[in-house]
Amino acid sequence: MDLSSVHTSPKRLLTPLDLALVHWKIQAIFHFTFGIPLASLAGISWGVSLSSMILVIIAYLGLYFFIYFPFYYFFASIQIKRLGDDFDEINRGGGIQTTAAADVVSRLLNFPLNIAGLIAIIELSAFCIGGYIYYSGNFIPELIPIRSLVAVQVIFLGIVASTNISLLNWILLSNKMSDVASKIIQQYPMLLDSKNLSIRRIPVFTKIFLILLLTTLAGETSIVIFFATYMLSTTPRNLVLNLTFIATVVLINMVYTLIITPIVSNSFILPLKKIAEWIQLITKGQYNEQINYITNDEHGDIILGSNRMMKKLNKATAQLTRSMQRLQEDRSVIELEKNKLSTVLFGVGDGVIALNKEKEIVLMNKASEDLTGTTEGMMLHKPIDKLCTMTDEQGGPLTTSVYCPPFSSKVGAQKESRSYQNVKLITQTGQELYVNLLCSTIPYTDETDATYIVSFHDVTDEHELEEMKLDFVSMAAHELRTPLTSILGYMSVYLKENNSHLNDPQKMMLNRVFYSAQDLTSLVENLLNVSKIERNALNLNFIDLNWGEKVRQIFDTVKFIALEKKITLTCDLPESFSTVVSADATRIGEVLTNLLTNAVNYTQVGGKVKLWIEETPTEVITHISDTGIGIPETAIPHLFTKFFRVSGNLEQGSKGTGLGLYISRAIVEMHKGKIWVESKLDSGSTFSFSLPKKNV
Amino acid sequence: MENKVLLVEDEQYIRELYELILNQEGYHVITAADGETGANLAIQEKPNLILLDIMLPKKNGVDILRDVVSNSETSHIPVIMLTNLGQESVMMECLRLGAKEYIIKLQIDPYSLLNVVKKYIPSPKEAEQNSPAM
Repeated sequence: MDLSSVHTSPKRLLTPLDLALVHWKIQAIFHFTFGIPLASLAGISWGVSLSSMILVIIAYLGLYFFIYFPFYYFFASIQIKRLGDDFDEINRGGGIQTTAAADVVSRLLNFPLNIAGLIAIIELSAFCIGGYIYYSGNFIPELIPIRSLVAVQVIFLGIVASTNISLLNWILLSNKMSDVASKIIQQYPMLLDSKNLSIRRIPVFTKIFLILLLTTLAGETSIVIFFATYMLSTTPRNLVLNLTFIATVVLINMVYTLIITPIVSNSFILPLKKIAEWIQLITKGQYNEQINYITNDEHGDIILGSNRMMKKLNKATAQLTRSMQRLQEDRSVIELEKNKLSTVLFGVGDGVIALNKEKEIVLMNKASEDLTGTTEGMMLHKPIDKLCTMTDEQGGPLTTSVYCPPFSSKVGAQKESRSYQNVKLITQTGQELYVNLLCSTIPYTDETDATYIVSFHDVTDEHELEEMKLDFVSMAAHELRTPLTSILGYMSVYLKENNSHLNDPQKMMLNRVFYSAQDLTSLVENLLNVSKIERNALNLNFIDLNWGEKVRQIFDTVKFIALEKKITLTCDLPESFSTVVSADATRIGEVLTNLLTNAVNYTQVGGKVKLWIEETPTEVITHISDTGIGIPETAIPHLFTKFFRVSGNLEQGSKGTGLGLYISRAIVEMHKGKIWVESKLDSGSTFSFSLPKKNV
Repeated sequence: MENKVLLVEDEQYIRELYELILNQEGYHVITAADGETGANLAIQEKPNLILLDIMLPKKNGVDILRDVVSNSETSHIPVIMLTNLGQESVMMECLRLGAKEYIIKLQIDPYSLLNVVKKYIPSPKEAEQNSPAM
């Protein structure tokens, strides 16, 4: 047989049989433990015959099995139908909207009380009908003499029975419905907090009161009734029989109470059990568990409260976890930033040291550690002056008191910095370095104790290179000058001492050697000057110079060269001229010499060279004009540039390096003057330069 | 002897050239070819004038100058720097230390140098020529 073909519908939450069983159980408990024994006793006391009593019991059983059973099943079906389509849907395992589910749960939980009320009415009506039957006197003939009493007793018994049965129904149905509701809540957890639930509130106090009333009614009331019946209705019997009767009633009541108590107390214990189980789960760390049980009383309050508390606790825990996570993230971000910062600091090629207000080291980067040959660990919180000795370019000691700008603790104080170039730094180990030093204050903040940032840019290599460059130029100068000194020195001594022993061709040849050596000398000197100009190393020594005197002095030296070339050199300078200029006497003399010798060199034999001076309120302008070959117009713009020579002049036998005018311009410009030329090809040139007057 | 000139010069040709013309003029010339000898001779011989090169083996001219001016026994001796080193900074340093002149050898011919020396020590030759007439 193929089992899979057998269709098993899912177990329903609540079937009519479930509900009917609750009712039957209650009827059985009440009738078999209380009703029938009591009724039998009453019958005995009333003097009913055994056969009549058996008849009554059979009728009773018949009533139970043939009327109650179908009635309650039918009744339960109607009740479940009355719970509505929504419940039917849930019951079949389907889903509905939460609000509809809330409605279903509300109806479920209110259902037991309604049924209890209904059953109370039905029961009481049944007993009233029974009372009427007895009163009519046609049921059991023996009871006709006491039919009024029996009717009253039956109705009283009816009151007790209906109260008992309805209360039992209420309690047991409540248990059943809470069970069903719990299962629905598992499907709709949000119902626990739902405002759409409307359940009639019955305080636990009321419940306890009613249950006590139930047992009391069942016991005490019945004793009183039966005792009274006995006293009123029967002939006097002996005391022992009476007491036995009463004891039996008490016994019956006790048995009833024994059976009913566990059933009833369970309804109180159930929510407590659920709470206890939940607490167990919570202590095991299952914080998301909630108590899926609803009852609208103090237990319910505890459950709802616990659930809400747990929800809030969960929320708080989640928030805490999130906060912790964020904190962790923030921490890692900070850590990252810190790492980033230290990586950057580490990677910076310049030495960076942070100082506090007391000028103690609070931070050193790798480069500064390497530079000074120490470590941050060694130097932390030690004065920076102990780290190394520094001297500035002039050789003065450079300590924090010199290079740290005054510190201002004012908020918003401007950042200040001081810088020094080519600082000589001697480390603790005696190593000698050259650095550019920059010290800045950090605008005051509470966040850091760093007050100064000192950075060292290692320029040792550059410094050495610069030294080498200077050395190279001076070496070159020295090495070129030395042999030339010998040549010129010996030549001049030789020519002087042997002048009389030499014939003219010999003299001519030796003079040419001598002049060429002189040319070489001026070339070397000019090259050195150019190199100085380009390195900005041409230092001028300004003095107050009587320009008239200087001009005459230079004029006198050039006069002899002009004389040799048979060139008329005139100086148009009044005797009274004594204007003072601020100038470097040697250098400006070189300019004048250069311009005058140029004029003489580029002028043919028999030509004229003239020097004159023009005075403006602020300047002295010196003009040198010649009647020489002149300069082509196209060449004029390039005349004062380096290595420029007017082409075609070489054939004229004139000499030059193309540096003289370049150097002259540089020197004049360093004197804040100007140099220019006016020229006409074949008719001569006029070179002029201006010098500012002293104190103008 | 009042005309003792100490010539410190490492270049043999130049040293001998200057020695030659100074001797011709009647000066008593003592020479040193390196810095150390020069420095020692300055103290031992106590010359009346020192012609001092700068680029010298063993000890440079600036250091010798420094020694000469700081030593009370030699501080009175005029020192003329006679070099081909044209750096302004060196020149300034020498003049600051107390050198009387700073002459670039290439820029002065031997006879002009002689005229400079004469400013500090009168020429013995001229003195000799003049004395009979007196």
